[in-house]
Amino acid sequence: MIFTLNPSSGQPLYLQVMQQVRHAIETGVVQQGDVLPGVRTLSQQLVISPNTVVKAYSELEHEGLLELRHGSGAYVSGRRAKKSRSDRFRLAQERVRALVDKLQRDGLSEEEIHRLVEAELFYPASAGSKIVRQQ
Amino acid sequence: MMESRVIETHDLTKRYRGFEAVSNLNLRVGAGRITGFLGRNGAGKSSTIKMLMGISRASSGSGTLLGRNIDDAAQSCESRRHVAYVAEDKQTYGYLTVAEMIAFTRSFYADWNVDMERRLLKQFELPPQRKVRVLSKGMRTKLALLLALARRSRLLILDEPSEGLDPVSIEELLQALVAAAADGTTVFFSSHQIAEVERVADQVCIIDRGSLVADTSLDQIRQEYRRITFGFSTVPPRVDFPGESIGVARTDGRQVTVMAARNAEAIIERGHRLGAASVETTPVSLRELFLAIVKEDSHDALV
Amino acid sequence: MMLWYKAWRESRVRFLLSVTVWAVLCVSLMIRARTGFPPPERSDLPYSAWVWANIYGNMNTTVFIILVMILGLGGLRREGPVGTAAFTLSLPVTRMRLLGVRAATGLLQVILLSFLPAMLIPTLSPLLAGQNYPESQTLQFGLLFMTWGAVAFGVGFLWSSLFAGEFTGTALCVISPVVYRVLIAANSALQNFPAFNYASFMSGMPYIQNPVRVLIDRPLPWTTFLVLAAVSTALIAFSFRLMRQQDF
Repeated sequence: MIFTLNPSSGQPLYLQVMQQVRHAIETGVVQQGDVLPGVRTLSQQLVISPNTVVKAYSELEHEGLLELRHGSGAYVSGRRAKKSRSDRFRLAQERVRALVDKLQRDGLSEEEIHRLVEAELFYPASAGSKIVRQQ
Repeated sequence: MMESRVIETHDLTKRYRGFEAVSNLNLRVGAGRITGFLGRNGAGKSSTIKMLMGISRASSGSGTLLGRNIDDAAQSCESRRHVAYVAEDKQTYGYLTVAEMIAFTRSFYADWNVDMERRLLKQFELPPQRKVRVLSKGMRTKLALLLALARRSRLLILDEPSEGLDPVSIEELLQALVAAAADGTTVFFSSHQIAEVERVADQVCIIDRGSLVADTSLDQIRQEYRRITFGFSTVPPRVDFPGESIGVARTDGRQVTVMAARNAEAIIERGHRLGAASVETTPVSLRELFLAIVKEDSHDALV
Repeated sequence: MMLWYKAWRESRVRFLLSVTVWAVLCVSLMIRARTGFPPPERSDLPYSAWVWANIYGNMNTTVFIILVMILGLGGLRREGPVGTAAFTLSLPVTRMRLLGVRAATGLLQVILLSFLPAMLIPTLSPLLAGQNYPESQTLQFGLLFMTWGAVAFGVGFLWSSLFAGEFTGTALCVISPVVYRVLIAANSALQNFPAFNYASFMSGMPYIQNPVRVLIDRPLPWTTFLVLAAVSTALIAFSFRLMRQQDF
């Protein structure tokens, strides 16, 4: 698996690793039964502290995405994350916060952001329909 | 689990002819982590490390290395059995060959790792039969690194390890440090190369003018430190965030910017109450943090 | 232990040079004895006088003292400017041990050097010079050289603890024995204590009755030997003390 980490961004490296592993699992880049590199190997590969890898892996195990088998590595678990509702909600909150931040920095007003979200909920872009921007 | 401290100092001071190279330093380095010791040239990094290793004596104050008193010759000697060290000078005995130098060093340490020795010898491309005095600077540095890394020591102390190395070698060095940490060695390295520290360190201690001015985890910096910029539609009020920020707030036209250490929300709240029209927050890189701290005349920030 | 090896490697050149100089003096005097000895104007000159003049007497003592003092140089202070002091001091050995090994190595070298004539002259004289020289004499002279040599070594060791520069140390080793000898010879009060004058002591003057044969026939001063040993020890111990406080 290929990781791209940014040590200067506002996000701890272990969270970046976790995010990228989750994304890889969600998109099928890594699948059930695949083995992720061990702590020593991955930390040398990415040139980051092994503590970062340990933290990422154990959190992912806690979420049910990885299965850490002592001695043989980190296996991608078949079990989908049985995250508690509050966990998913917390994650969603973070995502929304990041999105709103970005949009605001891009110059959108609160009203505009609000409308965009509503529009997406009503007419999802993936469904192929166009969004009508209300003036 | 009780956290053990591999390095601990109490008001450690080093005076040279009326000038304090190290000034009442209270350093605490925990086990099982990679800690970066960051500071400008002449900030006191080497002086501190030399005192810890018993190479020079403290003018006042005390310290322990792996729990043993650094002032006591016998205790210091005992700690050094379990400490691998790369000095600032990185020189070894010129009259010996590379192989002889390795054999010499190997004889002193029970935790010597022959496999690692062979691997590093190959990786660093060191010619075993060549005399140390004819090695290039880069090779001499690599030899010094090999002598420290070819061990399973409890603690690895490196004084500016990447100095004199090309980027590829620096990468190899960082990989070796990370591998050592994965094997259970606590790593403590001094540097004025911020990028290296930002990549591999779990914890960073910043020293300036002989005193500790920061001791924080990299995760904390990434997660909690923020640069907050307020925009005002009129001349901004005189804002001050004493004790809550790093350095002072800076005003530029209708904008006021400040670096928050842990309480970004409180500062944002404050800005709103003062009538800020817009707020922008951006993460803080280690370089930014370092420059903000050492540029201040008074250090009241975060220890 | 590798520390002994280090001490040996770092003193090897100086030691081998001293051995060469001393051995050459011994061998050459024996070879020259075949042709140049006895001199025509003094055909009754004994071989022992020839030996004495060429190895135990006169300037030879000063040469020996200088060589031995130089043996005392080197060590940690020298490692400072070279840049290896931090490495050496980071080894899991105490400074005392480092210095102790170096001092012991040096003293062993002094002993070897002192008794080098004892190994060469009695055995090789019949072959090279066609003469005989008693082993017991070389051993006694050896003792005289060894005891004062240990003091000179101690002085050199002290210089090495005080000065980091290579030239300063060496210059002192060459100059101080000469200056000392001149000062002592000029001081009439010290004439009663022959041990102060290393040249006179080492060449056995106070213990030789017959100035022609120049053989030691008076009992050797065992108390003086002890005093010299004590002085040497004191000099080395003081160096230890200086190095203990030294920052690197």
